[in-house]
Amino acid sequence: MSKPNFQDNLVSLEDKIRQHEDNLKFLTNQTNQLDESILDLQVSLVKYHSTNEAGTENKNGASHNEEETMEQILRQEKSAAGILCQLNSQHASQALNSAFSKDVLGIVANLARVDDDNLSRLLSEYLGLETMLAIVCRTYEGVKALEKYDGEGTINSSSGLHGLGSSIGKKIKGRFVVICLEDLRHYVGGFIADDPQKKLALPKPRLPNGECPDGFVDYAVNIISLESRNLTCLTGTGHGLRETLFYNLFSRLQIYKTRTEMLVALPCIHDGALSLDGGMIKKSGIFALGSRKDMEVKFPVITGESDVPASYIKTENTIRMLKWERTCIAGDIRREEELIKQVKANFQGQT
Amino acid sequence: MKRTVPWNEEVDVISSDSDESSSLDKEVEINNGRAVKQSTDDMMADHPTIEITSEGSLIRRAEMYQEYMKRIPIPTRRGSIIPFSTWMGLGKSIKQLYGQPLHYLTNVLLKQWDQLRFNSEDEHRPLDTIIHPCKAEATVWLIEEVHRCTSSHYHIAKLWLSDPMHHAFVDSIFPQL
Repeated sequence: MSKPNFQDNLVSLEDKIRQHEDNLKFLTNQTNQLDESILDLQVSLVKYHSTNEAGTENKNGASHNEEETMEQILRQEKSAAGILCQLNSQHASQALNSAFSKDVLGIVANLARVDDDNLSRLLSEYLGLETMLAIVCRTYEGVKALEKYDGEGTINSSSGLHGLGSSIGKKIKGRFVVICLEDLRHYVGGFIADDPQKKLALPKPRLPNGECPDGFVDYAVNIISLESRNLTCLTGTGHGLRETLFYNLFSRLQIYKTRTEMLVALPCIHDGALSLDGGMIKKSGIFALGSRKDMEVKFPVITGESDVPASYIKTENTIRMLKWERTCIAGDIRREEELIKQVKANFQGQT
Repeated sequence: MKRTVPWNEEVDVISSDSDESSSLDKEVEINNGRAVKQSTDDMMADHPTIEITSEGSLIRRAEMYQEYMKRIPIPTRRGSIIPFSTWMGLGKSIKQLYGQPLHYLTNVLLKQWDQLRFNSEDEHRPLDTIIHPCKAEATVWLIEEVHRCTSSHYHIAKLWLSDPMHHAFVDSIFPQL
């Protein structure tokens, strides 16, 4: 009685192995299709560039102020951010590329832009120099690659960013902040529909009478502008910088026109507020009084419109989505490989 | 014999009403199971048809996914007390502690539980001061067991079809089976 069952089991396991192998072929085909589509879209971008050579200098409405921000960071010579930017600018980065450059997204100060100099100074002052110079990594692998330790827990100064700094005669002084995107608690609410900047759908503050306080401008997290490549698909969960990095840095920091209006709205302020005439509330109950400070490092200011067509940006976004989809299929392939391993182990156990 | 899929509709891949939707590319639609990229710019007019997520391929991938998730055993020895401020934070800690992915449906549910606190009076109050961590973890595992053992891959595929960013809730954690 047991023999026919044993044979049936073997046949069934063989069928399962075949089915999983077919699945793997299917997933590999899907990956190949995506690769072809990505390549085709990249070729179309290259064609655009070759017919519009002068058109990319002002991509995304960038201004010379981005270079100013970079100069400001480079002047912080003993900071990790300054050293990282110097290494990037010198293309000293064969080692940089292989170590962590794919994981490092940039420095906080050059990952956002604002509409005017006043906002730039305000937001930069609110965050403080240490945060403005923070290095942003996608994953914890990037964080680990920046600094390594020897057996006794002391910093290994010949590896990571310390080692690369030494190679250009620079030494990092003191501590430096590194932000790991995948470990941040991200915003879970909705987004403003059809907004190209993917701003967060945060409800306006309301006074007890239901009205929005006078002078309320916006939330800081929504007032900044991001480059299109930083809007989505930066993390494994598909998020961009606004709902991860900047939501963590600013939370629901409110912006008001005047200090007086900001103070009237105090009951509605939970995560701090700024006023365009220099008022600053760090968070509920903590007021930053005194004179405004001129910051060594500030967010760049946008000037002028982008001269890149919307279709170019859409194509870039499509490429990003397809690349992300490809990463997801790689996960499917891995799961299927685990299933095959398990079925084969059962098969070998039975034969 | 597999039953036929009960639905066969034209669905926009990108929905502006969806929380997780991207407003990236309004021009990508699913049309009878094939995603078509339409370009208004002549320079980009040579795009081939891009089949990103057809019904059939989503059903197949959902079936593979469900079969894999079904085989991961629910941990039985759970002595931990996990402090948590949010449901998604608890989910993340559980994944790290046990080295297991949570099901797509569980991850979606945890996000919904966090979303339902949005703008409530206690929105920022750590959840472990409201619900005991042991009870919370046990609840997550019970829900996970339901999703791993009883979900239909057709149901999952249908949800994936309406959410182009569904992979945000598919964990890249691969325990040995």
